[in-house]
Amino acid sequence: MDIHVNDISYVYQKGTPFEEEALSNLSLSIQHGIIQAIIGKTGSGKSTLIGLLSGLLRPSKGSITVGEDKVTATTKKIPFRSKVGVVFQYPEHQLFAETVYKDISYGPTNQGIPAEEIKNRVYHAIDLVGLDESLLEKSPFSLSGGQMRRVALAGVLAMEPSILILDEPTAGLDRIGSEQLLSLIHHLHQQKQVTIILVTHQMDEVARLAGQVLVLEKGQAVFNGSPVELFSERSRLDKLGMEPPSLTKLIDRLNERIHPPIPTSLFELDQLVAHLELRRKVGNNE
Amino acid sequence: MSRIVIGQYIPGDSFLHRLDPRAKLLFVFLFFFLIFLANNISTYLILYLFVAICILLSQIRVRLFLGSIKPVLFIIILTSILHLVMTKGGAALLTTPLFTVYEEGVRQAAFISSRFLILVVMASILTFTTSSLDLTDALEQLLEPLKKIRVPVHELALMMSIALRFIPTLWEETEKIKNAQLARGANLESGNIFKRLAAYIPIFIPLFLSSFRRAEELAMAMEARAYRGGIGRTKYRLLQYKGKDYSLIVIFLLLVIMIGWLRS
Repeated sequence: MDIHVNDISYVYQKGTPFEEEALSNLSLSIQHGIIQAIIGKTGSGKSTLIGLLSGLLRPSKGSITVGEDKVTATTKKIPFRSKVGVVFQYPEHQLFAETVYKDISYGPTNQGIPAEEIKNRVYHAIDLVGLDESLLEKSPFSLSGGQMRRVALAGVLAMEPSILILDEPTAGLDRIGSEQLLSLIHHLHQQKQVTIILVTHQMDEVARLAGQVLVLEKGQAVFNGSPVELFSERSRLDKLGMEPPSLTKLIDRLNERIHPPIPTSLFELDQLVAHLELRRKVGNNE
Repeated sequence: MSRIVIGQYIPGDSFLHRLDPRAKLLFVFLFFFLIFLANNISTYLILYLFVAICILLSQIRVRLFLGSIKPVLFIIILTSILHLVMTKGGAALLTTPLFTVYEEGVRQAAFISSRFLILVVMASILTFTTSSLDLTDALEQLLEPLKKIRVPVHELALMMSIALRFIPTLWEETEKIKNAQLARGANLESGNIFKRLAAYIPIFIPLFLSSFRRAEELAMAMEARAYRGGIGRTKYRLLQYKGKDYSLIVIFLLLVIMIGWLRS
């Protein structure tokens, strides 16, 4: 299910002294099945774009097409809302039910799915996020922060969305927690073939996961392309006020001493190690 | 946030914005009594004229005032209809098999809705032109004498300013949670009243939880900075009455004299 964002603008509080244009004339195409990263500073319009892509907001101008469904400023009922799953920032703050099971089944129940199928989905979802089934009958508020976040994620996954939006999924998690969550996202993407839209501040996450990356600044797209393209040009990164991923920084440092230079398209530590080992072997043979 | 919260401060630099908040608060408070002294067309006209001048002076768009009237419009219409139908007296203007509209009914309906309108608009002028911080400061200082009879004025004012401060925050929070549950397919718009109330449970529970969390964090932060109430506490911003604040006394007296003169 491809997404086409066609020349949209969004204005908050139109007609008041607080009127504010959060997005202006933005166009974007997201192919089905890729991981699209969205980065930008606070107030760049990321949250608004999420609202629009998830069908919670209507554009003030322009149109959004998800699959077959088109939404403009005048569309009454947004048809693709149930196809898009959104995991908002700090999703553990939206848990409400008495048990984990009930919270995860909230979404599918709203979709009108039969009880038997819901049960399957809840068990499948809790398995996907790597939580133990014994937690299902516990209160979500008795869990740790990381577990609560997984429960919230499971609650969205149980709706089986074909597009999954994640708004800073690793915010507030420790290193191990975010590492686990990232590999979870990676597996999810490979297993389920869903489109993932990842909003983040972490360049390392963008480098490791994203197939395409959009940079927003003051409601406008200032870059849209592959991470390799974005991170290979230092002057553009500096102009956007962005830091390169830590591995790219390391490669840059190494390249000051090594010749020929290591390609900056490597974003995984394993890849870099493999590359260096290959070079050592070649060097030994000569 | 997609709409204005009623009574929101609208920053500006008009004459009304620059008045001392204590003076404004007292003036509006006394003005409310004055409204109830008006009892004929000419006195109401004076009040309307005064409110119109205030709106002009505030340099705030009229549309925003209309927005603040909206929530009470229902009450205004209801009381007007009741007066039109129930009040007897004067000549009959309209006779139907069900009810008769008398001259006195029309008069009463017009006066009562005027009262509501003037009250609401005047209160809006006060909140539009005074920040909540100024307002609670003013309230605290005006109620200062009550400290003598052990009313915890400072604590009350603090509670009020915290409450006002957190209205937008909680509103934002509500929107966030609402969006999250809407994205999970929550249906908030259809069904009967009980179904709709039940549909709001997934929004209220997280909201309560986050409010408690916020309250605890705030208490902790205050305590960490050794906050300990009002006794001996000095202020950074000192309010001071100026010439224009004293002019409010004159304006108020003029209004009292005019209305006292013209009322029947």
